[in-house]
Amino acid sequence: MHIAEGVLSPTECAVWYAAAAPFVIHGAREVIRQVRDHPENKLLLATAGAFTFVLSAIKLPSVSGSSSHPTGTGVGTVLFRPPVMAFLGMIVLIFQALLLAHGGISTLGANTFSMAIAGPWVGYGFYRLTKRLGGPDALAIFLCMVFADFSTYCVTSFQLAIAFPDPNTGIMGAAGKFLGIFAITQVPLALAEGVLGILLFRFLAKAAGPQLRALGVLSGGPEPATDLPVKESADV
Amino acid sequence: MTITSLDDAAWDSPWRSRPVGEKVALSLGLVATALCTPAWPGTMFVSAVAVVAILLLARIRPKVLWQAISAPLVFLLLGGVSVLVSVGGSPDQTAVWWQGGPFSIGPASTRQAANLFAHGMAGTLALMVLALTTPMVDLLTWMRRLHVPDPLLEIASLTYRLIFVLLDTVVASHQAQRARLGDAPAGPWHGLRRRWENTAALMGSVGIRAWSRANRLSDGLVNRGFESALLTLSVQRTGSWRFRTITVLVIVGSWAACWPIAGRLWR
Repeated sequence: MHIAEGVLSPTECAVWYAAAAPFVIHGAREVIRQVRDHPENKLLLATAGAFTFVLSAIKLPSVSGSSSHPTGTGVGTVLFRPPVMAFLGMIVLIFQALLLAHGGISTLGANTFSMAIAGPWVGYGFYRLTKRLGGPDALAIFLCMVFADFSTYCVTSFQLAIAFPDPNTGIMGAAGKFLGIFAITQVPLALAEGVLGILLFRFLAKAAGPQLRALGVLSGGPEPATDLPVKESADV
Repeated sequence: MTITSLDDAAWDSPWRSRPVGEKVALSLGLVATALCTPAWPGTMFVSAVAVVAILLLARIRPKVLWQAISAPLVFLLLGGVSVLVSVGGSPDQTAVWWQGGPFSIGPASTRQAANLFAHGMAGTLALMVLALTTPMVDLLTWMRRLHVPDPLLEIASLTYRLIFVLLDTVVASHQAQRARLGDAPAGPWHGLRRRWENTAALMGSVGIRAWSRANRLSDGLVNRGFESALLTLSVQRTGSWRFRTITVLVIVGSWAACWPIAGRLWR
């Protein structure tokens, strides 16, 4: 859910660009540092961006036969940390605006703030908190994915409420209205993305356990036998 | 619409040969006009100019334009309806046109909804002028002139190229799963658990393959001596004073026309 081109006023566009800029610049500097220190990471970072974009194109099955799509930022946050996701998320949003007509350039600051900054940082906060409290990996990943999605939708709702306050009840009334409307799709979607995250990392733990341990995503423990056949769909 | 529809249209557009800067100036000039001018008549002028530019001058098929704007159109309609309906009663009952329980519609909310739709539609059409005529690779090459750091542009450029590689992998994997009836709605809950596990396996295998491919690509580039900027030759394009003049006239004209009709230049 991105705010479409032209919806926000010029002042709001400028304010959200200014709010997002420090995080994106910090992320960009982190990316430049990583590329300078480890040139081989250039392609891995690009792959992470492409993977996030493609994730948003994978339809999630639902009982009614309809489908939704994940935001993909939760996965990137766990794998690459929030600062990098601020920059990669902005690139993905530019591609979504120009390749899918989803979002916009004037609303890029607002969309970056909600999807690439607020979502990843809140999700990562829950991820770290769960790990610090000794919670299992699956719960940490579930909470990260769910709250990355939730916070994205809450921030977007407030952005729209500030832009279009309710004539009777003001910004808070409008926020309640937008939160209620988006909740119909976003609450099930966030929970679904959390479940999908557990399944995804369970699959990755079987297929790429050592790499995930090297990234610090999975806690220690016995290494799985790498010569065991992974579920056949890994190679389809 | 597929993920590549807009990009395919941009590659095939007769405006592909125009300098990127001219198209960026036209598109972003129209976006700024759509944002800043009064909804009536500013957004109407912008929408008309954008549609003429896309369909008649850039010769994009109407079906492609319709597919491109259908998703934003749904968002704008939903957003418009949610702004149109106010929550809570208004102290001034004369300012309410319709009331049903806690919901009401009045002139203020109607004006807000109309503004949202008009500015959003005009802005989206203005952005489509750029999206439907300029492939992303041209845009990224052009951005080197703006002194964006090379590593950032390279990551953006590689991301763009890898998107299509990953999409091929997703399509192939998904077809293989479907051929094995992995998405068949059979079993308890219409096979929902199996279908979810297959979706997770699809995402995971795409991620692993992408990771592996990136490593091999990196090794290949290092072996060929590419250790710094991945520069490519850019196509030399000749600018057109006529195009630039018309762009300026159209944008200034849209602003100027707002004064006699709306009585103001700002929204």
